Amino acid sequence: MAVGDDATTAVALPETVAEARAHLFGEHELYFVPIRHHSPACAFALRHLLREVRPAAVLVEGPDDLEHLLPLLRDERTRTPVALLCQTTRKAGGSDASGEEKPGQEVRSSFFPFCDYSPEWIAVREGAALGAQVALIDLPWRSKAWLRGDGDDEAARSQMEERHLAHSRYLGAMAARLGCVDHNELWDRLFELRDADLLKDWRSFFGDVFAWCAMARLDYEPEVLEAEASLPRERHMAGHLRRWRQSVQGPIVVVTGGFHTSEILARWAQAEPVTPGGNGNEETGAWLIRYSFERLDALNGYAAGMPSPDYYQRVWEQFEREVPHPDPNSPFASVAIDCLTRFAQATRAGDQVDAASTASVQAAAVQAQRLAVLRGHAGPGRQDLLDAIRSCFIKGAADEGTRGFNAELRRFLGGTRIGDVPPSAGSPPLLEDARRLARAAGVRLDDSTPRQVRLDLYRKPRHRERSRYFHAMAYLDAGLAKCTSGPDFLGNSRLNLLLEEWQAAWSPLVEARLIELAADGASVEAVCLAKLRREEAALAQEGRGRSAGAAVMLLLRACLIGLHARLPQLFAMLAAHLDEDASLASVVNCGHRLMTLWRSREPLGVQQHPQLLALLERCWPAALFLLPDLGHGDESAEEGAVRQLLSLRELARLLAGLASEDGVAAIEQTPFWAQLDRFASDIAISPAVSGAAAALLYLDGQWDERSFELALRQRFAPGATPRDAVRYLGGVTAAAPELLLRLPELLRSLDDFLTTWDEASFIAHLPDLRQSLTRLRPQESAQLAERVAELHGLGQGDALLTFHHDVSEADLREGSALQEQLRQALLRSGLAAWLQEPA
Amino acid sequence: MSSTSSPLSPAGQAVRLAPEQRYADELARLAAADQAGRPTGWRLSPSAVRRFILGDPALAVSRKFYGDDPLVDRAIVTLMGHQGLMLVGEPGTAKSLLSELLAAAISGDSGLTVQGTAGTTEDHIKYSWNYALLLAEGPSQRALVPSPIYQAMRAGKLVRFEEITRCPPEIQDVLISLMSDKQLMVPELGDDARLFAQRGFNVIATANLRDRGVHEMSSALKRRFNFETVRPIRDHDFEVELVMAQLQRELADGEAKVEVPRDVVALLVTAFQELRAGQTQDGAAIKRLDAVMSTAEAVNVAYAAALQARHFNGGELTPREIAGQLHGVVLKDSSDDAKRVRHYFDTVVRERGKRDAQWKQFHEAARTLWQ
Repeated sequence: MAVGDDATTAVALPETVAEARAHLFGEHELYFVPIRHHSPACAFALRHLLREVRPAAVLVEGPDDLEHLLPLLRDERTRTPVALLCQTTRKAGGSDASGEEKPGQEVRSSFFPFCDYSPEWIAVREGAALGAQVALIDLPWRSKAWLRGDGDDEAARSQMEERHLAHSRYLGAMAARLGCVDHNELWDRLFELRDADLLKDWRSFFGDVFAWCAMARLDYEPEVLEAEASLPRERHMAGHLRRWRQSVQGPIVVVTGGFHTSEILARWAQAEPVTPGGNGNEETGAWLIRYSFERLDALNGYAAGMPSPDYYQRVWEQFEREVPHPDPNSPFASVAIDCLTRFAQATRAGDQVDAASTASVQAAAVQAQRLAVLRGHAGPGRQDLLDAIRSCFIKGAADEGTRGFNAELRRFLGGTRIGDVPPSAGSPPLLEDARRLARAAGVRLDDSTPRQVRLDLYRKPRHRERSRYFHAMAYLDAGLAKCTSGPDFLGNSRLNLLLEEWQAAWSPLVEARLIELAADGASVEAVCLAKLRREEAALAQEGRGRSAGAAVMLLLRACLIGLHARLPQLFAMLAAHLDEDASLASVVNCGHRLMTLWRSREPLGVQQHPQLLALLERCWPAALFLLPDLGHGDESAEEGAVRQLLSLRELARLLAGLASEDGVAAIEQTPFWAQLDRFASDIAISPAVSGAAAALLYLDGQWDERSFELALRQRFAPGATPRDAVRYLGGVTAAAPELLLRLPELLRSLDDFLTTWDEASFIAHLPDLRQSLTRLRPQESAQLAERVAELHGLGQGDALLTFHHDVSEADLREGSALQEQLRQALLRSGLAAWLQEPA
Repeated sequence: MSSTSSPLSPAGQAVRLAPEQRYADELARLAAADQAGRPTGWRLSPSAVRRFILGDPALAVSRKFYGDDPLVDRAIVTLMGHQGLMLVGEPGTAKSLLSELLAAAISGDSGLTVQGTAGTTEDHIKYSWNYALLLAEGPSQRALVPSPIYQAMRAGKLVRFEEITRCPPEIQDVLISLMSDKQLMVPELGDDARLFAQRGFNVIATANLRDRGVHEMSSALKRRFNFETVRPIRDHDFEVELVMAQLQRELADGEAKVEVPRDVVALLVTAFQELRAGQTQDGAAIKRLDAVMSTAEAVNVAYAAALQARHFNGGELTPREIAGQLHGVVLKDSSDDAKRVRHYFDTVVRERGKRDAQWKQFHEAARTLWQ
């Protein structure tokens, strides 16, 4: 039984469709071939058609301004999957005269993919081999019709047709009738799962495809088709066909998506002849690029054709052998068994919990075969295979736990193959450069599986080179590599790590991104430099042009990605910014970053730059110059000010260390201490800064214990405002929390001071007090509590140290407020005597 | 109860008929029209079994299982092989119904059933003895009381093992050797007394992997089964249709009429689907219930509410009765569920009540009941 009969007899065809179907082949020596993109069955039948018809010309649905790329498709060295990539730049805002890219500019990329079993691929290759003229007949890529769409998808035209098929009510109803999950399974059942002999009967095969697509088309209104550019495209194709028919003798084969065939067939005889777009030699922004199965897999969301390309590739390879076999189902059965075995091996190799045994593989093979019989398939198809795997490999409920398994299965059937294009494909020079560097960095260009790379930054110069390449590509957002572990020089963390780990994979996405960037320059280095310069310019525009902190980041970035040629300019820029920067935080930050650079000078490759040390030396006076302003901020800025002060002192410590080790001129600390002294003694300075300054002076040995105690007593003396005192304490503990334990005098004066507070102000300042004490480690807090207990004559483990977990802080506060009210009430009533503790 | 023994009561008045009795005419029509080859021991060809379950308009065969056609394909094909079929899924997803239908279509007998409970013993799985005869005659064929599995092996039929995970693991594991050797030893009847399973024998088990009070399955047993997960119905209109149809059937024999408006059933199904999925139709996340909110439960609620409407409140089903009956479904084991439902009423239902009279009524009725 011809399975295809279902398609045409299950539901009676409208007369128009049946009528058109009769005119597909031979009239005016025209052969209309309706196809579904990336269908092995269509490709196979088309090949037989071409060999039988031996056409003079083959016209293929594809933008006619891409015709100059056809020789590349025919090139022997081209290996699928490949794609034609078109790019157009849309100017949203408009660019300035210098031609520099503006944020408003938007590059749109579109792909026209080919794989071994794409009918278009067969049309181009086989047509050329048979000596036919091959031409593309669709609207030029630059035509406005293409650009009207919403710009966020890749807008490959095949997607549009797939959408038509997926949304067709007719196909949906038919799938339901025949018990298929969706239109993909329906297609498989009706078309893909025909054995080779049936496919060789291309007349009835393409007749059925035509009916299938024509029925799907009936759901659409002409206005919709006009708006989404289907009708304009069909008019264009019909026009091309008219011209070809007028100018060429002999058979012409027209290969288009089945969705369009009926319209072209009906229209071509009256169409206005179209001449090919005049801009054939002009730079169209189109290339033949390598593509991957991953991208082809419609289930991954790209919707460029049929799902599971690797599976269909195997089916196609079986078809191609064309060896006569006693079992007509052999291509599908052998692919199914092959897939099952390899998938089971993959589950075992992946050390998965439910690895599939040989028994499961056998069971699944039988299951797939029987499902095919039950469903009336010519052999176990993709859906049968999926169902068999689902039945036999998963032992347990299908739930969240099996999601990983399903993803694995989808990836497995999708495959990771990447194509190749001849060197003459003329990819943009940037791409060539990136590829050369990738090869040098040991990235495989023919496989898109991410691989783990470990780089020894400190000991191996070659690894350092690779790291710079990866960083450069990451900087360009090319999607080549992701750093999973290693020192973070930009974020100033994990600097103790010696190894860098990357996940790297070359994928068509990388190429697409690089092609987008191609306008910026001809090499990775040039493009990085362009981006860096844009960022420099952006800094200036944002009004942060004089920020040393921001400038030093650019410097670090340049070192990281290997733009060392740019360093002199960046150093000079940084030096200028350092002099002009008005923010202490930025200058101190800059100092710390430069320290990072100095300490990591080997992996970052800046040993040879004397400017670095000179700059480091200049940070200190620049910071000292800005220091006096620190004490005049208001209370909200206080915390930041204290942090800057401490950061500056840390920098001083590091610089001093540097002086002893590396022979750098020792920094002058005296002005720093003098300034601290002013901070500590001046009452007008914000109390936290004063506190921190006093503590630092004491720590640095500039103040002896007595001076410090004197200062403390002033701050905690009776009459001092509790608010300022708490702020002061906060400053001290931020700088040196351990002083609370080391200096009994500090504790005593604080304690004395606290006893002078009334209940209300204690409660009001409690949060700040607590915050200052949180800087102590838990053990230190316990020690402190003991000291306080001793101070109040309580022994260890006495009442002070016991507390009630069942009473919350809020309860306690409410309770004391209540007690205070009660006390006031008693006093008012003249009952003060009641308040006396009984003797 | 197996078909070989005589019924203890007349079938005519039975609350529920076995599918092979209820759909006897459909089975007969399918058998008559069945051209395709049948596996040995099967009453129908695989494709006829499929049509029995998924419906065949040409032969006036109704659809009996909804939602997942490929699952039915896989189940049928699994039963043709050496592996058993394990249907898993949440309670109330028609696992047992599907297993009955398969047994009825393939073996013409859905009665060979072992009900798994905590008290299931090896005797229930293999065989036991008629002790009076055993004492009188010694071990003999006559004194042996065969289990449903024994009978199925002897007759080459399907046996159903319901709720297999409720049995203790050591009892479950008795199945392992039965399923791999496809034979059963009866040492009491002599050294070589063994029963060989006839072709057509296989096991359909149903299990709940996540309910309370269930046991783990050993991996050895798991390997003897192909697993199929039956899911709750997700399509709203379709579930409404299903509940309506079942409700009409249940209410058909009543003497007094009751109006069942479609939008009231739609409201019930919406509430069930939302509480089951933990997500409202608008996509907002709400608290999921622990209680089973299956389609079967929805039918129960609708049926009870309809009876209430018929006998006590004016003869038309309104959201008021639904709200009242919801209590019994939700308040089963988790006291948190009551809180969650109250929250659902306070937020989602209340909000909808502002725009829709039915939901408003639903909310008002619930307010008196649930606060």
